[in-house]
Amino acid sequence: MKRVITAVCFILTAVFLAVFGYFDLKSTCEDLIYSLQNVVAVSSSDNNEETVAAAEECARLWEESGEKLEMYLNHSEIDSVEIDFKSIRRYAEGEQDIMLTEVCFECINNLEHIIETETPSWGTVL
Amino acid sequence: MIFNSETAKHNIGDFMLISFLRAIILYVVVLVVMRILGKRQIGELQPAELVVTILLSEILVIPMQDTSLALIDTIIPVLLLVGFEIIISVICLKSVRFRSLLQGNSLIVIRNGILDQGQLKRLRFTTDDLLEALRKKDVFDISTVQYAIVETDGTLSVMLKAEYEPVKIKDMNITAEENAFPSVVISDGKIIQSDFKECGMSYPKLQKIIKKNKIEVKKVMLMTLDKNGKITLIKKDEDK
Repeated sequence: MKRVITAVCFILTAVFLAVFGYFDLKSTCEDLIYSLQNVVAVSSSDNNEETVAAAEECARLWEESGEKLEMYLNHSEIDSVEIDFKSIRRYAEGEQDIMLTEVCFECINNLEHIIETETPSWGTVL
Repeated sequence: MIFNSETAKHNIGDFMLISFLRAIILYVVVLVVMRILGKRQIGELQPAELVVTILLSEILVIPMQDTSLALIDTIIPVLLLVGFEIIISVICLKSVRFRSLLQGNSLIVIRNGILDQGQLKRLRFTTDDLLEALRKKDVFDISTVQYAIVETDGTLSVMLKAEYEPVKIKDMNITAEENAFPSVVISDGKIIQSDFKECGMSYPKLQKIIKKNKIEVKKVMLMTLDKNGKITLIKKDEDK
C-alpha cells in the first residue's frame, strides 16, 4: 500500500508540475507581452520620460520572471528574449524609438512563440 | 566588443558550478528512483521494467551533460515513469491476466528430451541460443532434459530426467549436519556487531576467541562464525 501511495504521489506531483508549470509560464509570458505592448504604446506618444519609465518597468518585470522562465524552458529558447529585454532600456534612454519598437515587437513575437510551443496540441505533442 | 578575461573566468566557474549542482540533484533523483524501483538485477528485469530502466538512464543523462536544458523537463517524466511502473507492478501482483498480458508466460521448449520447435519459433530462439543457454546450466545433451522452460525474463530453467539428476544426501539415506550461515563478526579490522545475535556471539566471547588466537582485532581481515560454532579467521597480510 505504501508503494501505491508513493506512486500516486509521484504521478500527482508530475501532473501538478506540468499543469501548474504550463499555466504559470503562460501567464508570465502574457504579463511580459502586456508590458512590452505598453512600452510600444508609450513610445509613440513622444514623451521620453514616460517611455523610459515604461522600459524600466518592463526590465524590472523581466528581472522578476526571467529566472522562472529559465526553470521551465530550455535556456537557448529564452536567450534572444533576454538579450532583447536588456536592450529595451538602453534604446528608451537613447531615444531610439524605431529600434525600441522593433526590439519590443521581436520580443513579443518570441514570447508568443514560446506560448504556442508550450500549449498542448496535436502539433506540439506529435 | 572588449573581451574581459575576468568575466570569462567567472562564466566558466558558474557553468561548472551549475553542472556540479545539477549532477548532485540528478544523482539524488536516480538514487531515490532506483531505491523505490527495487533490487532486481538487469538480467532479471521484466520487459516493462527493462523499458523503464533504459528510458530513465536516457532521460537523466542528457540534462546532466547539457546545462541549457530545463531540469523540470527531466523531473516530470521521471516521476511519471516511476509512478506508472510501481502501479503496473502492483496491478501485476493482483491480476494474473494483466501479468500474463504484460510480462508474457513461461514456455516449455524441451519436453522429455524432445525439442518443441513451434515454441522456439514463437520465441525467435535459434537452436544455438538454446544450446548456449543449456550449456550455461551445465547441460550438454538435450536428451538428458526432462523439461526446459524459457522464463518471462528470458532465462532458461532446466529440469533433468530423474536418472541424470545428481545424487543427493537424502537419496543415500545418510544424515548430514545442518548447514549454518556464517555471519561476519570482524571485517577489515572492525567488529561488526549487527550479526552478533544471528551467530550467538557476544563481546566477551569474541574477546576470548581473539585472545586464544593471539591476535589483535585490527589485524583481522575477516572473521566469520556460524551457529554450529565454526570459526573462520583470516589475518591481514602484514606486508601490505
